[in-house]
Amino acid sequence: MNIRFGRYIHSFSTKLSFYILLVVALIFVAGFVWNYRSSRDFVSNEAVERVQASLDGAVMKIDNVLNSVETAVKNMSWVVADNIDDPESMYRLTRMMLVDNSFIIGSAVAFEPNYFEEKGHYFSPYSYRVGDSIYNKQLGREEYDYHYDDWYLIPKILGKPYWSEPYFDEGGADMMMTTYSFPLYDDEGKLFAIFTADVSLDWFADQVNCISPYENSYNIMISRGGTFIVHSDKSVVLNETFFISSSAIGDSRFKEVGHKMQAGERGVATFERDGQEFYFVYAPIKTTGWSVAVSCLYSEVFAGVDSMRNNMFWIAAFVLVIMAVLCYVTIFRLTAPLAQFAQSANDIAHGNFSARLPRVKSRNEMRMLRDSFDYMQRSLIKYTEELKTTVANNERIESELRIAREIQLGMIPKIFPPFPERKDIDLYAMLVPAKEVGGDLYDFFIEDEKLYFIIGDVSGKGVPASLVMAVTCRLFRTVASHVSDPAEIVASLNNALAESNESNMFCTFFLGILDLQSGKLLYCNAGHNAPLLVAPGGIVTPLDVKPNLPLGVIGGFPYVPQETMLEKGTLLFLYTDGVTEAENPAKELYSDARLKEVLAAANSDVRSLVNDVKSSVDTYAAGTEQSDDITILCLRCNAEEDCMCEVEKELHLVNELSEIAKLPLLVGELASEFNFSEEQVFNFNLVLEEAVTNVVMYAYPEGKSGSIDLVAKCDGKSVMFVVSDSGKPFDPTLVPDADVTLPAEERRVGGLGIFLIRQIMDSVEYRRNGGMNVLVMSKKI
Amino acid sequence: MVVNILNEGDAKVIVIDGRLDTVTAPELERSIAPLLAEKSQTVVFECKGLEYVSSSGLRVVLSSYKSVVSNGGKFMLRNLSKDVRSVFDLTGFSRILTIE
Repeated sequence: MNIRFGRYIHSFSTKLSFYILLVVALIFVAGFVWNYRSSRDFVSNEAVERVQASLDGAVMKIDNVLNSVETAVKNMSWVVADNIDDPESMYRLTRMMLVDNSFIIGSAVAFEPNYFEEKGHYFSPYSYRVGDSIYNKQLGREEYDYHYDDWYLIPKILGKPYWSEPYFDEGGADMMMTTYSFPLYDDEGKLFAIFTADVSLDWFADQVNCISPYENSYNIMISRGGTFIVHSDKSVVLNETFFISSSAIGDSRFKEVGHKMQAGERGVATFERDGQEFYFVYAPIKTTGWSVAVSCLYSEVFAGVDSMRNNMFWIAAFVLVIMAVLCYVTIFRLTAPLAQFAQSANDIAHGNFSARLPRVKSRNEMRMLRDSFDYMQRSLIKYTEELKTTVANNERIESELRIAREIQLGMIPKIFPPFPERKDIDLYAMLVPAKEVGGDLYDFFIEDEKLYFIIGDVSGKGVPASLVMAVTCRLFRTVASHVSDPAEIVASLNNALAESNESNMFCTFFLGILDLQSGKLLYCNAGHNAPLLVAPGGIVTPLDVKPNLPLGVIGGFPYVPQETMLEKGTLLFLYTDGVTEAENPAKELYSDARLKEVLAAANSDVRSLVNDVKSSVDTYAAGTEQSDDITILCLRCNAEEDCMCEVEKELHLVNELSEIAKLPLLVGELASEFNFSEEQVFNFNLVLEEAVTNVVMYAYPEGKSGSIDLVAKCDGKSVMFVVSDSGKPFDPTLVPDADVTLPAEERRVGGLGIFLIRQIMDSVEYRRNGGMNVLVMSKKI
Repeated sequence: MVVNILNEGDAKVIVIDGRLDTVTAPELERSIAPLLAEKSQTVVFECKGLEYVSSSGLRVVLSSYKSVVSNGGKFMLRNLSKDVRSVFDLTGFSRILTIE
C-alpha cells in the first residue's frame, strides 16, 4: 500500500499559516477598533470645542456692538434732556447718534402726543442712513401713529429699555432691523419721549455666517420668540419660528433644545435628520436674549478619522496578505523535508532500507530527524543481516531436528496391525511428539508366544529427552532378548541409565509381558501412571500397579514385579501424561475422568479406540499448542476358545494358471465347515482367483517356476486369506483401481482384479516379509 | 466351460456353460474371435448356464462388446444368475452393457 503524502503537507502549512494570520488579524482588528473609538472621541471633543469657541467669538462681537448701542443711547439721553426746550435741536442729536455710531442706521426721539404744543400730536424727529448719507425726517403723521408701535408702547409700559423683536422696516430704512428703545422721563418722573436706535440685522447675519467650521455646516439665529433671524433659507427669516421647523423634524428633543435656547442656555446636542447625524451647538446673546446655533454633520466632523480608518484598513489588509504569503512559504519550506521523510519511511517500510533521505543543511530539529532516520536505516540493515544469519542457523537446526524425528520414529514399530496373521492379539499404538523430537516411547515384540510391550516418558522434551528415549528403547530390546523376568529387565535398564546419568534425566516406564496363550500378564512399573483396563461392558478400571521409582533415579532400586490375568476381550490401555494433561485454551487439563468416559463409550476395536481418544483430546485442546508428547498403546488378548475353534487350511500351488482350478476346493472345505452361503463361496472363489492370477501373471519372470502358498483361516466370525510368494516385490494394493464409471469405449482391461478384491473383502494388506510378498485379505462373515 | 454358438434369426447366440475364469476365458476369446470380425450383426451371450465369472471373463466380455459395436453391430447378455450379475454390478459393467 502506498500512502499519499501530498495532502498532509499542504494541510500542515495551510493550517499553521491560517492560525498565525487569524491571531494577527484579531490583534489588528482589536487595535483598530480601539484606535478608531478613541480618535473619534478625541475628534468629537475637539470639534465641539472649536465650534463653541468660534460661536462664543461671534456672540461676543454681537454683544459688544449691542452694548455699545445701549451705552450710546444712554449717554445721548442726557443730552436730549438738556436740550428739551429746543425741539428742533433733536434732529441734530439724532444725526449725532448716527455719526458717532456706525452700527446705528437710524435713530429717533419719539415724543408723547402733544408734548410740544406747537409741534402737534405727532412729533418724532428721526435721522437715518442711506449709503454714506444721513437724512432727517419727521416720522409721526396722521397715517403713522407710532404711539401704538411695539418699540414705543412696550418700553413705555415696562418702564425700562427694550430691544424689539426683529422686523422689516418698510417706512424707514427698508431693511431688516431691531430697535433699541429707551424711555425718557422728566424731573417729575413722567415719561415724555422714547429714544430709539435702529440696528441693521444684516450685520448680525454676517457675523453669524462668519462661523463656518466645516464646509457644509450651517448657522441659525433665533429671537426671543423663536423667530429665525438668520437662516440659510432666506425665505423663512422673520417668517417662521424654530418650533415650526422643529416639528417638521419630528424629534421632541429638538423642541426641547429650542426652549433651552430661548431660556438663554448654552450647550451641545446631537440629532439625526434625513439619515445624517449632526452636532447642534448653541449659545445665547445676553443683551437681546437671542440665541445662535451651529450645526455640523458627523460625516464632516469625522471625515479625517474615517479616511484614516480606511487607510488603516487597506494597510492592514496589505500587511496581512504579505504575511500570509511569507508565513506559507516559510512554513512550507521548513516542513517540506517532512514529506520526503514520510516517503522515505514508506520506502523503508517496503523493505528498501537504503531509501534516499532528504538533505537538511541547517542544524535544527529537522537535521536531528534526518540523523535518526539515517541511524535507523543503518541499524535496520545490520539487524536484517543478523536476522538472515540467525534464520539460516535456525533452518539448519530445524532440518536436523526433522531428520532426528524421522530417526526417532523409525525406532518404534509403526505398522498396524503389527501381527496380521495372529488372531490372538490386537494391538495399536500412537506417538505424537509435542516438539520436533520427543521423550515418549513405546515398543513391543513377540518372542516365544509372549508379547513384550513397553511405554515410557522421559522427563523433559526435545533433543535431550529424545536421546534418553533412544537409549532406553535400544536397551530394552537388548536386555529383553536375554532376560524374561520383567523386574529384572526394568532393574537392568534402571542401572544402565542411572550409571551415567549426569544430567539427572529420568524416565517413567511400564513393562508388560503377556503370555498370548494363557492371557497371563507379568508386568513391572517404574513410576509410570497406571494403565487402564477396559472390560467388554465399558467398565474402566486402573491396573493395580506398584509405583516404584522411575528409571535412572537411583541405581540398584529393587523393582517389584506383578502379575495378573488379562480376561478375554478386555482391553489394556497404556498412555503417557500427555493425554490427561492436554490443556484447552483456558489452561484446564483433559483429566483422568474425561479419559475414562471416552474409553467407556469407545469402540472395542483397538485402532478406532485409540483414534477416538486422540480426536477427543484434539477437540478438547481446540487448537491449543500441544505441550507434551502424547503416546498411547492399546492391546487386547483374544480368547483362547476362539483360537481353539479356528480352522486353518493350507494350499501350495505352482505359478501356473491351471492351478486356479484347485481354489474352489479350498473354499469348499471351509464352506462345508462354516456353512458359507452360495454368494460367499462365489465371492471367496473370485477373490482367491484374482489374487493368485496376479501372482502367476506378475510375480515370476516368464518361464520361471515358483511357488504360491495359500493359507485360509476362519473362526466362524471372519475369514482371512494369506497369499505368499517368493517372487519379485510387488504390491498389488498400489495398482490403481479400474475406473468403473467410464463408458465401455474408454475402459481399460486392467485393474479389475484388485478392484474386485477390495470390493468384496473388508481389508486388504500387503507386506514384504523375509523376501516374501504377503497379501492378507480378511472379511467378517 | 462349454461354448456353443447358435443362430437365432440374424443374431448369433453364444451359449456359455460352466465357469468363465482366468483359465477358460482365453478359450472363449479364441472360439468367438472369427465371429466378432463380422460386420453389423447382433451378438447375444446366453449366460443361463454361466456359474462363475472372474475379471478375466469380464475382460473377454468387454473386448467382445467393443469389437461388435465398432463393427456396427449390437451386443447383449441375457439370463445372468444372481451371483454373476452382482459381479457385473460391482464393476459397473451392467451400466454399460445391455443385459436382458
